[in-house]
Amino acid sequence: MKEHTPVVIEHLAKRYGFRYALLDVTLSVGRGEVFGLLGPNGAGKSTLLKVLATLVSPSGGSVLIDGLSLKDRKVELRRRIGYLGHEPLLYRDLTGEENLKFYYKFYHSSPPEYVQEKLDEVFELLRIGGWRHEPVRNLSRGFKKRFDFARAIIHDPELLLFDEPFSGLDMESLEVAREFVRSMEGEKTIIISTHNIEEAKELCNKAALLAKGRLIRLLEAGDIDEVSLKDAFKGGAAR
Amino acid sequence: MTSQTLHELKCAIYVASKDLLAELRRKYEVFSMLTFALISIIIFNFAFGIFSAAVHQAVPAIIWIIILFAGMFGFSTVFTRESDQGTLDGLRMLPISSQSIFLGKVVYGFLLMGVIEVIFVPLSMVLYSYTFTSSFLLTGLVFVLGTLDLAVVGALVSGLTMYTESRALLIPLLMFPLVLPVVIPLVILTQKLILGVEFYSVLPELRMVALTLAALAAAALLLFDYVLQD
Repeated sequence: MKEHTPVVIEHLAKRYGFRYALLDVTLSVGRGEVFGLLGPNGAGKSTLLKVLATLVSPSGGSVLIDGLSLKDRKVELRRRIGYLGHEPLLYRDLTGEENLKFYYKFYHSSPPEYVQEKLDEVFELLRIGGWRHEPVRNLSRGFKKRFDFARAIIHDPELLLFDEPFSGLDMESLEVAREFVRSMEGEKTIIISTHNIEEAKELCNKAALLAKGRLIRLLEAGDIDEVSLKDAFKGGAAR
Repeated sequence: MTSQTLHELKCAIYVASKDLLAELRRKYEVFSMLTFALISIIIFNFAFGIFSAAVHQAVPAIIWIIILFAGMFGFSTVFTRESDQGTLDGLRMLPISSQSIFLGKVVYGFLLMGVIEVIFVPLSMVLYSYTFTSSFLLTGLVFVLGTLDLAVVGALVSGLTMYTESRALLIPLLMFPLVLPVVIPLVILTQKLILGVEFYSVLPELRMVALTLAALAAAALLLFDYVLQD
């Protein structure tokens, strides 16, 4: 069976009214890579992740995930994608465990003992087992984020999309989240957006610099530094 | 029925069960709906007087007006709550069709309204001293179809208005023209059920309610892909 590149983006554009949030973005992400999207606020990082997560339809260009067109195979591709946005996609009146069980049911019809085993595994990985029966509205921001990480991976997706996953976390949650990303390296394809150069240097094998919706430069692990990020802050004009 | 259709139906039930569980926890909608229904029924009772002949003529309209307005408390939030709490993207990312999500919301709205009706209709029978003389099955059919109609309109309007801030204005503006073709035959049907007519004499109104349900459901299912798009 032919092995496809997990993510191939060609000439991608997204326009809101007269403003381009993304313009002519072309890049690809290899299997098992941790790929960073770097750039200042408004660079188009979140929009790009939302396009890949099937939440936003592109205005132009093409996206292939595992060789399947994002435009035509949305529902099928959603099984392969785990997305973590700025805000947790959790129901406040349900407990963390109920939230995860709710999302899990749409992907797999496994026997209850297997589901429980799967949940235990994720809870241990993210160190949230002690809070599983607490309604989400009672959880701190850090724990909400950790449960949201769990939601994003509960169905075993091959492609993980994390939009500024470490912002606003306390030390412990930050450590757990970073450890979690490191543990997935090589196993899953991960795309992380960040404007923190230290995080990118520590976690990413490759990165793309975005500014004002344009791809400024592609970077290998060794090239990710402050100078590159400054370039992005100064860079491209897409509007 | 194909396995894909069955899967979509199963997913709709998951969405409805999640909403019911959340509602059991917070009880906002069910309490506001029930309170509204009880207050309205008591006010009408005082206005007409228990033994007045006018109350018996007005009962069908009273019942459906109360169901409609109580329903608005519940139906109008089925999508707006998802949008306000930021969980809508979670639903949009699920590997299911938008029709399945819509259906789940209709089932939830229907069950929520059903709970209210089970409490409120018998209570109105006691307070207004009336009874449904037609068969229990026929009466049940009318209430099930009517509530389904309202749940479809409610979910559709809630979906259409979830992105806008002027919901308070838009919900009644969109809802009332859509529910009028349903509520008018329902009031006539309920009048006939109280009088105790046979099945064949309610057929024209029943057909009207069923056709409206089919048309609204078809339009909503076709529209919903666009409603859930960015």
